[in-house]
Amino acid sequence: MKKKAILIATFAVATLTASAATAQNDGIITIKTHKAGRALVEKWIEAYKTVNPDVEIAVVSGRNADADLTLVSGHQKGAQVTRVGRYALLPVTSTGNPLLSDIQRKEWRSKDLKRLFFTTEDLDEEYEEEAAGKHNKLKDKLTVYSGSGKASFSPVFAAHFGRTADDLRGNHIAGDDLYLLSAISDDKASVTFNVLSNLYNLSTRTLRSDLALLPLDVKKTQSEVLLSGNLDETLELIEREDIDLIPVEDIGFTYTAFDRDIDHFLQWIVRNGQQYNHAAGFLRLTEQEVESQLHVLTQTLNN
Amino acid sequence: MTQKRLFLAAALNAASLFVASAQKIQGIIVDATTGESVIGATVKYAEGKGVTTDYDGHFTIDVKSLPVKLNISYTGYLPQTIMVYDDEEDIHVKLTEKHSYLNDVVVVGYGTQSRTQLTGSVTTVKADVFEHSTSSTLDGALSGQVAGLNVTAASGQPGAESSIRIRGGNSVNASNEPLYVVDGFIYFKDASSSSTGLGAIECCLNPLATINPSDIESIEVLKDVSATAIYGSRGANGVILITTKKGNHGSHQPQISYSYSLGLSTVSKELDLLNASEWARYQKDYWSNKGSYTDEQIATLGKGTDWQNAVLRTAVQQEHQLSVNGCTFAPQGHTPNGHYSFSANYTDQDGIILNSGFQRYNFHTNVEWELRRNLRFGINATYGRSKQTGLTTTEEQVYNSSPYSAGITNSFVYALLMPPVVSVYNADGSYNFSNPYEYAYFAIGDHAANPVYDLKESVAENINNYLLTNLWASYKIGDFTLKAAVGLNSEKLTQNYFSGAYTSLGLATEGVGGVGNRQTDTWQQEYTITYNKDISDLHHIDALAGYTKQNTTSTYSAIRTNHFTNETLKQYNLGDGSGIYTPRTGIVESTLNSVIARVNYTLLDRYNATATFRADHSSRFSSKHRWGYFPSLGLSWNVDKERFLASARQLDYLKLRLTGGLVGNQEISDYAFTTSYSTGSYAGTSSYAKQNTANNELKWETTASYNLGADLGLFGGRLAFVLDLYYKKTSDLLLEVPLGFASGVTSQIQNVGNVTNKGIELAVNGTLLKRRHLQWTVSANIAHNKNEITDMGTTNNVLQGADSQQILRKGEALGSFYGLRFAGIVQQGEDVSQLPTVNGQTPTAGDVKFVDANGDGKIDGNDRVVLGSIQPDFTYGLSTQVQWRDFDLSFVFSGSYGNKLYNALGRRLEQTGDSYNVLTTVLHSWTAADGGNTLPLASTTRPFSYIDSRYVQSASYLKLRNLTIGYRPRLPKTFPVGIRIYATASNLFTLTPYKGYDPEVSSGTDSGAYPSARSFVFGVNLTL
Repeated sequence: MKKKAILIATFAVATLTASAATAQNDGIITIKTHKAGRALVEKWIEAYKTVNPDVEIAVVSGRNADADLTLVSGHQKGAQVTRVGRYALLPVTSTGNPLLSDIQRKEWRSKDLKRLFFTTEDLDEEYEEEAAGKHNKLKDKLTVYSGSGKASFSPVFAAHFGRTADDLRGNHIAGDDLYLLSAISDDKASVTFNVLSNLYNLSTRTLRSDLALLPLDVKKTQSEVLLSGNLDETLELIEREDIDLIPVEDIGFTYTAFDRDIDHFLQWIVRNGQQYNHAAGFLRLTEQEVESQLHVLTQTLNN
Repeated sequence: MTQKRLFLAAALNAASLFVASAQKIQGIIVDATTGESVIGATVKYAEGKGVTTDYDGHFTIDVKSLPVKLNISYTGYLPQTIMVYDDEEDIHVKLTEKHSYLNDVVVVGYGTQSRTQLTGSVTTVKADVFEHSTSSTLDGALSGQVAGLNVTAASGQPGAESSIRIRGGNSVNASNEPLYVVDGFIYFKDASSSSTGLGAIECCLNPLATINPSDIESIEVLKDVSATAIYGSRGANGVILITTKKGNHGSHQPQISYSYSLGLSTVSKELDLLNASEWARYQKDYWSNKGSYTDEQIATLGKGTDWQNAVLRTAVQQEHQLSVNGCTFAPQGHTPNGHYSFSANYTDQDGIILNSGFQRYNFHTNVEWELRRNLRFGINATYGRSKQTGLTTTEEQVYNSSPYSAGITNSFVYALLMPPVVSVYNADGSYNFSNPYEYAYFAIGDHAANPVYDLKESVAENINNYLLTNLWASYKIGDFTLKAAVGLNSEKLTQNYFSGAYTSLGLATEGVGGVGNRQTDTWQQEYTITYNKDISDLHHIDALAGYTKQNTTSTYSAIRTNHFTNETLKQYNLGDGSGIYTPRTGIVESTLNSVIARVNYTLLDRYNATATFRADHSSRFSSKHRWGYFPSLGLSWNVDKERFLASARQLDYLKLRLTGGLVGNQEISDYAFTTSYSTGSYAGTSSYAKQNTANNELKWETTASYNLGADLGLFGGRLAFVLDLYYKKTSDLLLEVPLGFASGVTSQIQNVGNVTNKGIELAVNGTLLKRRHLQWTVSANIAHNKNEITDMGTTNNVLQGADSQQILRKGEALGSFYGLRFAGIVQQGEDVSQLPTVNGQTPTAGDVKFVDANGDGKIDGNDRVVLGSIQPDFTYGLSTQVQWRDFDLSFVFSGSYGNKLYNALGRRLEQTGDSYNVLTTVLHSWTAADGGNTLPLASTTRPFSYIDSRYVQSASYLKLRNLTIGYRPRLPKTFPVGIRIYATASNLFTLTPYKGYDPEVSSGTDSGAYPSARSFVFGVNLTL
């Protein structure tokens, strides 16, 4: 009887709190984020509250959770986005991949990546002949995993190579892109791509021990940095140099409501929060972007 | 306060986790191409449980834990597997339609079959072929599309029939046309069904004109016996299965489309005829110069009247097409319980000869419902009206002095023969009926025929009102399906004919006209039971048994009168004609009862066997030979599924096929087995004449057929080959055998002789480019067939044709030409003493020389030899489609090589005289001054009584049949209508050595066939 009463009480509390959250009341700024951005968002909240202790900000998740702010990738059609950082995508496989030595023996060019990851070939005839000989077998033996959810980075990766997410061959998963790494861990002969925050251990600042990057056909100095597995050096490299084979895209917040508290929070992220981006595996905004975003935020508030 | 808020946020997360623990997975499944929700798709999760998507394509699954693997499938789509790791958002799955060869389901007789399980030789032609064609009938679009299927137009007349041969012709006097089956209804038309017996009309309406090509979803061409044996006595010439469009399965929104096209046609080639100056000079130099032209007058005559251009025109064509299709749902239902398709079509196509054309209204519907669980019901119905306006014909007559025997077959040919010094109109604009050069056929007193008036004022109409409907119901009990179908094909053909007193045909009789009607009703009943079972993963059995009955009743009547006093109402006032021909009326009935059976067995998805049997009981044969039995056996082996080919990654499929069996042909006229009489009038009273004498031994024509084939697919659908070798032997030919005088008739249909066809076919389909914005596909096919008469009984060397130009002879092909071999022109100073004599005379300079084939020193009928045949050595086709961004380009080539054609028109137009115009080649006739080695001295009477090799000409050709460029503009997604605009050119060019209008003449004799047109059509398709 006692257990039953506790159960009922717990259910009632959970229902009430969920309802309260859905209604977005009580002045809490609620934020929804994908797993890749969660560490960064939490770091921003923690730092912001040290200077604004009266503001309450909470990360929410779940199918039915509505939020004031949602961390999204790049440009969203029909939505106003305040850009707060950038991210990079790298192709990766599992260290347990039986074809790892074949993969690492090669320096992957743009054409090679297109052929590996996509169903339709948009390649010149010369490459078709070349690929049909050497690399076709490797492609046939590797399964591609990609995400299919709204928050997936698949559209960004595909767009960088002139395709759409529908063109990605292989298996799709439903769920956060973090699970792509689980998929290639289960299915060893496979490849995927992911954001640095998922690929690197944010504590040790190195590439996760169960992952191996696909060697890219870039400058030697760039390749050495990428293959070193050092997150900070990798972030600085990508910020410093424009590497054609690495997709880089903005992250930003969309909002369902906009008030002074939210404006202050976003302005703080754009102005002061950039210092935490690297720690969470993300790139900083450029100075020009910072100025641009601050200007837009001011205008939005005035409107 | 702060603590309270923090607690609230924490609780919020806890609540989320609590909800997540329910593991409710939700999602939507859509078509990857259209974005429409897919209704009724199956979503199974690993444990073997599953759900189906609702009418919005949504699904919901409760699972115990994540991750979970979902297997998503739907008929006609490629299955998809997706791993679900969390349930924080809905899953969005895009399914792609199956297009691969392996997943193809092929329509076969009385059912469907997976292509992997097929043993027969079956080629599928998809709807896009018909969408890119401007032909008003489906046969016009089939040319070049299927290896071994040869389409030859009988005429360029819009709405005219074509000759279709699948793997050559088997028969001499019975039909060689394939059997057509429209949505399960057997739709065979013999020549008599497209005529009322009225005569005098040049062209017959194409039986396939009742089928609107835009309604066709696909066509299956069944070529070998394993596929055709289920049609038994009517399968020998191959079978063409036509499947019309059904309602779509995807959306609860109906799809509505409308298209309109407008085009212009002109003659694709003109003959070079003498102009007025040339003709007058030729008359003055070689004939009696009836016009008394002086050299000065000749120089001023110029071009004169171009009669060829006067009867040809730039023709306009237009077409409207509206179609609606979709599916219906039961209340609260999530999956469709019915499909519907409706279309309406209007075609109006003018012909390039004056006053000719084709019009059609066509309505088609195809509806299917699931009335109750396992009980389905459907109706296919086509109703329409075709009207063909053609040319009157002088008709083939047995006596030698008729215009037809002189090569004047119709008013178009007569126009070509008109002297260019004669005008079409008088100075006052009225028709010119004065032609001083005409004295042979079409002049009475000072009135002569005028071909332009002939064409404009004569009536030659074929009007067909038709209904083709098939109603069916099926009920599924376990692995068994019972099906019953009843269908009716009802057609009312009306032929109207009128030639007034000033026309060529009416000149001698003060006008002649007539009306004919034929009502043909064909009822078909089918009762089948099928059994479909997978036994473990090893065996698959698909069995069919059934009974079918088809009976046809055709009644006809025709009346003609002449000597009119008032032509205002033409054929609608036949009572005005005082001369009455013997009216023709009659009834013809036929019945075919059949038992059918088929078993398909597949072992390990690798080894397939198909055994088929059909027993037919036909009313067309004598009572003791009415039953015919037609068995077949087919085997196939999916070699690619063997372990030893498991590592062949570039191999998609490899199948070997071997089939053999018997099929028949019963397509002769009804009552050919019995004695019959025809009525007429003699000395003012009725008379009877024996028409046929009984043959109690008349039976089936039987074809034993064997086929060895291979299907090969490579490189992920990029390249595919189909290779077939076949041998067919047709025995007990239904042959018209000449009879002695004592029989009272000239000939009788008997079972005499054999014909063989052996050949090889190769089809290649390739995707040359498959890039994101650029796709290029190519299909090519080539076929070789050797046709030979291997036995003629005691009736060898049967001559056929108005000029006895063809022969049936053992060792030769059907349609062999028979004549003298031309050896040149006797030149000045040539030693003629060794030349064979002609009509007892030794040839002199300027005369024709022929080869003395039998070496008896004289040229006569015994020197005739076989000069080739209508059978091509090769037929081939090439089609390609290029899609680049929003543009598409397609073209179709087809051709044949090695076949011959008797150019009777050319022979007529090189026949010199003082009445008719001739080809400009006559200007290069032999002369004492300049020689010349093709045509004799122009004043020489010609032609020789036997045809010769100059006029049996190569009919090899390569045609660009169709070239289409389309553009589909990108419009905002909110724009409600999809648009495609296109331009199509048909018959753009023909490469051929043939000297007449067109090398495609199905009869093998070009006696002035309606010339083919080159057309340019512009159109727009709108889709809602």
